[in-house]
Amino acid sequence: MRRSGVRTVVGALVAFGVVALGWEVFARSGSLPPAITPPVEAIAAALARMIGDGTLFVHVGYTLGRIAAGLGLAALAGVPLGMLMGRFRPVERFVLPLVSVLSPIPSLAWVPLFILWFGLGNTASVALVFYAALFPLILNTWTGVCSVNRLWIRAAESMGARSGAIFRHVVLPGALPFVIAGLRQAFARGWIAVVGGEMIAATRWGLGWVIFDSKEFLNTDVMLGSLAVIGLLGLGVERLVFAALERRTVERWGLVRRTSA
Amino acid sequence: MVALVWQTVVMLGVMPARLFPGVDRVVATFGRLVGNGVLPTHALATLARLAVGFALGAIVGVTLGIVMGRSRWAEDVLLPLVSVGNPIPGLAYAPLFVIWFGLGNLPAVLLVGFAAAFPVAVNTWTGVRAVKPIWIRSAIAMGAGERQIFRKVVLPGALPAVMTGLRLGLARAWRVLVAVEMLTSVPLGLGWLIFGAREFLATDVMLAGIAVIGLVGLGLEKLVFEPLERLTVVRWGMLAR
Amino acid sequence: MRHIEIAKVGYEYAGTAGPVTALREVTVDVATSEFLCLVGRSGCGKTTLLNLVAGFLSPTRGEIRISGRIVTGHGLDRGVVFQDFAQLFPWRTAQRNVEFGLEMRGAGAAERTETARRFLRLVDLERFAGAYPHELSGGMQQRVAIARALAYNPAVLLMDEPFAALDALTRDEMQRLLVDVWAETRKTVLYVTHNVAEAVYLADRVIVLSPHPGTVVADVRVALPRPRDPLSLAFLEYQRTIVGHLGGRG
Ligand SMILES: Nc1ncnc2c1ncn2[C@@H]1O[C@H](COP(=O)(O)OP(=O)(O)O)[C@@H](O)[C@H]1O
Ligand SMILES: [Mg+2]
Repeated sequence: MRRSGVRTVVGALVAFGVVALGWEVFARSGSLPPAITPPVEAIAAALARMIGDGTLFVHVGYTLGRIAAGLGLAALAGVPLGMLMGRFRPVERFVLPLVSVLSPIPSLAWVPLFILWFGLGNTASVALVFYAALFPLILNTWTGVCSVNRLWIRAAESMGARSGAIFRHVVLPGALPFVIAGLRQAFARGWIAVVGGEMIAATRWGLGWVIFDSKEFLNTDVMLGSLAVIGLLGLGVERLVFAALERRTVERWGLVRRTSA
Repeated sequence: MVALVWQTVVMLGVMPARLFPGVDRVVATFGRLVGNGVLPTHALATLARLAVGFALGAIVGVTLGIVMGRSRWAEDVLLPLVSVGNPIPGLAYAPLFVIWFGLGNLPAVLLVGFAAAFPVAVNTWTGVRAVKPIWIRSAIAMGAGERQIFRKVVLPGALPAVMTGLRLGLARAWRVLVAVEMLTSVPLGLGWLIFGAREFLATDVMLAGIAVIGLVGLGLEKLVFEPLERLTVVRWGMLAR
Repeated sequence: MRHIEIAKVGYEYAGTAGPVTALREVTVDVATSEFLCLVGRSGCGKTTLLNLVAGFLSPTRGEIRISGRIVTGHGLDRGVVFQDFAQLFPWRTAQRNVEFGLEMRGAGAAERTETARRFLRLVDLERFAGAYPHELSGGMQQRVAIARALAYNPAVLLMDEPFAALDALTRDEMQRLLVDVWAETRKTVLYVTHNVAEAVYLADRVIVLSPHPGTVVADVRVALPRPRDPLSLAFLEYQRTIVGHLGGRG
């Protein structure tokens, strides 16, 4: 039984309506000072102000730039490394212990150290995203290469494919669903890392920095507005970029089925 | 292996030794901090916060998930909230929680619970909905009532997914907690230890703290979840290992 | 004595492309302790009829009585065995699966253990009482399901192609076992299958349903002594008759 679209939309509207209304009543009741619980229109106004003077776009640009750089570098390093691990035992034996020791450490635990090493600013944030994104990419790629159906490789071999061709035409596409899943996880982790990192290690720009900076002046309207932007951007990238990527490739090949909801 | 790579880098001297201590120094510091009780004290404070916050988040998350799984109405209203809230990094709320609840333990614990509740709720919901209709039919045929079906069929049937949720929730709680300790000026805690050590450029202390954080994270997985799963869903053949 | 009375029963599904009449004017009586097989091609309404008797559905026309009382829902007077192996609860051992119905009835622990043991012995699985379903083969799982449906002592046993997903050898074995169990417990059995040989082997009487909508086209009494020999001429003759009623090669 499929949930009907209308029901979903109505449900969402009711949900957000109720929450907004509840917030409004609570904010206006005066049980807490309005500086701490700004009403919805104050949040909207703060957002409008930030859009008007263009600062919002700069913040968003910095945050997206940092995560793109970190994620890109992590993909450049992690995917080939994962592939090598999947193809060559010695690489696997050398890298796997490293990864399994480092990956359970939350990326944000490194923030203070990264600040010392790289100073405040872009480098520390990008390094943080890199660290957060690297391990899901390595692990997923490695799993993907390991789980490529042996029959496909046999079939390609019997059709005369050399190891280079097998890698390019069989292993790479076969492992792709896992690589994409890895990218997805890497983005989710990198997103947390970049926002957290900006709070502690950024100077002047970035969505995380805005939230943290607003705390000093009790600008809760700006904080809540930025929070909404962070949520929407995260959801947007996840739904638009990754979902589209999956539809374009692995879903069309029938390697994975869309999961509902 | 890590140590080996690390030590090579140190020996090459690409970074100033003060900022990039050798393995020997980190190990020595680790030993000293364990010996004089500093690391255990901080670790205990962090674990206590984790336990309380995660328990809170787990209770709220499981309850929400079950309600969403059992009632169409609740599902329609709650699901959009949960799926929008889920991808927002919990840490982004930290400054807000500080403003609302002040500094110290309260905002840290609440934030941990808040961050953990989302994956728990989503997975519990999936699990409840994935309970096979044939199990429910069989139970009905054997005379089970609503409550009995819920207790004896829906709950165990949803358990594999609930476990996954708890596991994701705990991992998330752990990540958030370490970071939030740096922001809420708690009196004791591993995050705080690392952050405080920065002031004195005590990189060996920081690395020792990070090592403990990694070990605890690994320990939670190996000592809590794996045995729990072996006793339940793996034993029942509902999860391949 | 008439145990189950199905009187002029009709059933209509509210399908997505308009209502689907699954059954029309079906009238069947089953005597106490009789073994009755329903055969018919896939989609002729066998499962629907069984679900009506089980009380999972209620007839849109006509009525069904068990021991003279109109069926309005499920009840402990009927035990059900489905085709799907997944009907067992994976989180309970074979023993605890068999205990489930007794537990629902509020039976004490001692009684539950003892009764479950007895029925596991009946299906020859006493040794596997402590095993979880995933540790059992498909045939063993279906035997547990039979024991589970019998354990709370219903007067009627309803079975929907319980052996259809088993390999041929295991199926033969299971059929022999089922006849033994039936001979020992004297339940009234309503058994659905699309396999004619299976029906002739098991049944006292075979009801043949035709599709779209499902109606009774034949009622054949199998007057062969048990144990039956599937290679005997008489057996093959019955098979031929029923296949003829099915219209074609069955
Ligand atoms: N849930 C349903 N909704 C609509 N039509 C159904 C449904 N279930 C079964 N049918 C229709 O009813 C008829 C009988 O189905 P069923 O009783 O399952 O047949 P059988 O068990 O003999 O294979 C089929 O033609 C099928 O298309
Ligand atoms: Mg059927």
